[in-house]
Amino acid sequence: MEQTTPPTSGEDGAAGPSEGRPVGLISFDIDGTLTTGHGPGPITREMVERAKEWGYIIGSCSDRPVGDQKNMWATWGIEVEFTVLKHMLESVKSRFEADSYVHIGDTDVDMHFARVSGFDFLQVQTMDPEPWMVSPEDGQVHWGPEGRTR
Amino acid sequence: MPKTIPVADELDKPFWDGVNEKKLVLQYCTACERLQYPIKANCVHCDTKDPLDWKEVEGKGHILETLVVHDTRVVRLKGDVPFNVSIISLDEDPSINFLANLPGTPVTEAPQGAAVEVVFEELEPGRFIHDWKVVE
Amino acid sequence: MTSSAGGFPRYAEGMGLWEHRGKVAVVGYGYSDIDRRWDGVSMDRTLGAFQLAAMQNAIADAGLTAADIDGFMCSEAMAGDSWAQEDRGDPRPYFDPPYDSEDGLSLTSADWLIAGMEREGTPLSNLQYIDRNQLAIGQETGKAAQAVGDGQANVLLMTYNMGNVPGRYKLEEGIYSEGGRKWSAPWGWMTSAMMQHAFVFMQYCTKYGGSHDDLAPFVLNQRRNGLLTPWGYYAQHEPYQITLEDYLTQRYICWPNGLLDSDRPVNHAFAMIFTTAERARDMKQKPIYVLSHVQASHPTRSTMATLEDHEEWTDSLARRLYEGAGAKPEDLDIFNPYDGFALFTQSYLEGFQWHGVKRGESFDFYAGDIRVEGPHPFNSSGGNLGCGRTRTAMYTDSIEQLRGTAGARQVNVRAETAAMGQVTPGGNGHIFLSVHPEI
Repeated sequence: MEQTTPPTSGEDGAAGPSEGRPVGLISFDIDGTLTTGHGPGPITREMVERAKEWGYIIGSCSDRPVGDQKNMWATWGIEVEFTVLKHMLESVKSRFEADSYVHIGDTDVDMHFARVSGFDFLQVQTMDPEPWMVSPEDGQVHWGPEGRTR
Repeated sequence: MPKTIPVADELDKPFWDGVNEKKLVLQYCTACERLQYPIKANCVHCDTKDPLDWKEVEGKGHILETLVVHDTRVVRLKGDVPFNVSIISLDEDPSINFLANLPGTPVTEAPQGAAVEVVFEELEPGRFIHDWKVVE
Repeated sequence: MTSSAGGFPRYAEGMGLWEHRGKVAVVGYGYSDIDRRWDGVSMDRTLGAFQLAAMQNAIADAGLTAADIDGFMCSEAMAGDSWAQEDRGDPRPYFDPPYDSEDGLSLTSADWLIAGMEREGTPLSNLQYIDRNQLAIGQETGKAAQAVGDGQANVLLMTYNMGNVPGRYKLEEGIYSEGGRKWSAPWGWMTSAMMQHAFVFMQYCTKYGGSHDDLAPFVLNQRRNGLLTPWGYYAQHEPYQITLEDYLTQRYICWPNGLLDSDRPVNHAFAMIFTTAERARDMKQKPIYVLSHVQASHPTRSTMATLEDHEEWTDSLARRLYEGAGAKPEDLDIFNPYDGFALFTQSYLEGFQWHGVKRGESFDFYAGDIRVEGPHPFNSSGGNLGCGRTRTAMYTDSIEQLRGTAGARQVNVRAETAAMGQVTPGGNGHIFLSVHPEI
């Protein structure tokens, strides 16, 4: 399993969830981004769950039909705030007030819709690990078994 | 839109030379008396082995249909999506058709069937490309 | 060894009955597992491994052994997605033989497949005829039938695959356009398949009325039929039905063509066995006779072919296939035309006048009952849209419908004849099959 040395702290210097942090919103692409994707991406269920625990508003933005996105989250047992089609990312921004909006994906289509929707874009293959990706157990970032090569 | 720049070759140089002089000069088959575009080595209409001639056309046409590109492989155009791609029929021979971006016409507002005229867009100093715009 | 079939291709009008009508039969078929992409690790799931499995399955289905096969036909150049293969990028790390080159991983040569069969302990030890062609399966099936009819092989194993390499389709970097692309790329024109058909589809709507959304019942039914095809991509990997709302809210790539109008590339392989009607008589499976095959290859006269061209071409195609089979539209029971993009399938439906559908009537037809259970079980295979871009579902379904083994997809109407083919109205091959050696 590929491991990455984690950053030393979060944006506000804290290494874990805390009250009063800025509210961030993270939109996840699925295929090529999450381990449940076709093909599997590097972001694991544990990472996403941790992001939610840390207080991020999370959801998915994918070319998969919305019903299938919902099925996927149900399979993972994670309740999310939004499931939208890729070209509908902008609607997420109008629905949720947040201090930061990030879309994580693996293709230039993800980058395009992030940009036109006012989101920061993180290319999953090359992004620096976010603090919520770090395992509290060993302080490492455990990407999914397929790694980050796709 | 920053169109990609066509690279002329020996066969189609007369066409691009014409475009650089802001003229639309198409191939013309003297055997079957038909125009041809895009430029090809042989006549697509008849079996003649005679070399094709060249003929300047007026550059008037009509919009057949308009597609809207939302995602493109052409990297140079990625920043411009969505954009119009219209298919233009040439008035002098409606079987000849061209692609057009309809400069000046907002995306999704291309008037189907409208009259258009050729325009020439400078891509590099002295190097032009043909496009079509709606006649007001 | 010979490598070409004399009576192939059949392009011309007025050729009359096919000279081998009812004298060639399909007696076996087989297919592999299906994936979106190879994982780079599993050597039993490479495209080559898939294709060997499909070949072995076809031989077993026919009740034969590999030694019974005396003809072998595969498409080398078209194997996988040749367009995407160009975009493979840096050479991947290769492995020990037989995976020490790209051959076997994302494309397959005849030599690799023949060596593979030997490696697997099922050697094709009696080959007299090997055809390494560059055809898509629509043309390849016709060539296989012709080769057997012409006596070049007695028992011919024909195989085809489609692959999906990593990454997105080729991006056009740089600021210059050369070759054929200079006439299209500057205006943002991408692929012939997508934009050409989007344009003709727009002309269709202008001429006959209707809009993109009138395709919804067809596309939804394709997915439904695909979910009833146990080996298909969606049945295997994404087993959910798309909804009308999904269709109407889909992302457009090039209006009016959206994601759900487009097939998904996959890794998959298929094989069919053709033999003479005489040999087929005593074989394991009920013979499915080949009554005709035809091909089409039309140059585009200007930048874009038009609706008029597509109608003329598909009229000719249907006329020639029916003529070769000695059949009329009302004789055609199972019809599996190509659906790589949903936007052009109506060209075939109307050209073949299946169930009486004439020019301009497809949208009304789609809005009727086209389910497999109903009176008009159109494209009972689910096609590429329902099964993934294998280009083979139309063949497996047609064989199964005629054998009566289509399971949940088995139609309730008569299923004694079938026509199928691919790819586009401008370039394709089609074949006419029947449980009887003549109509």
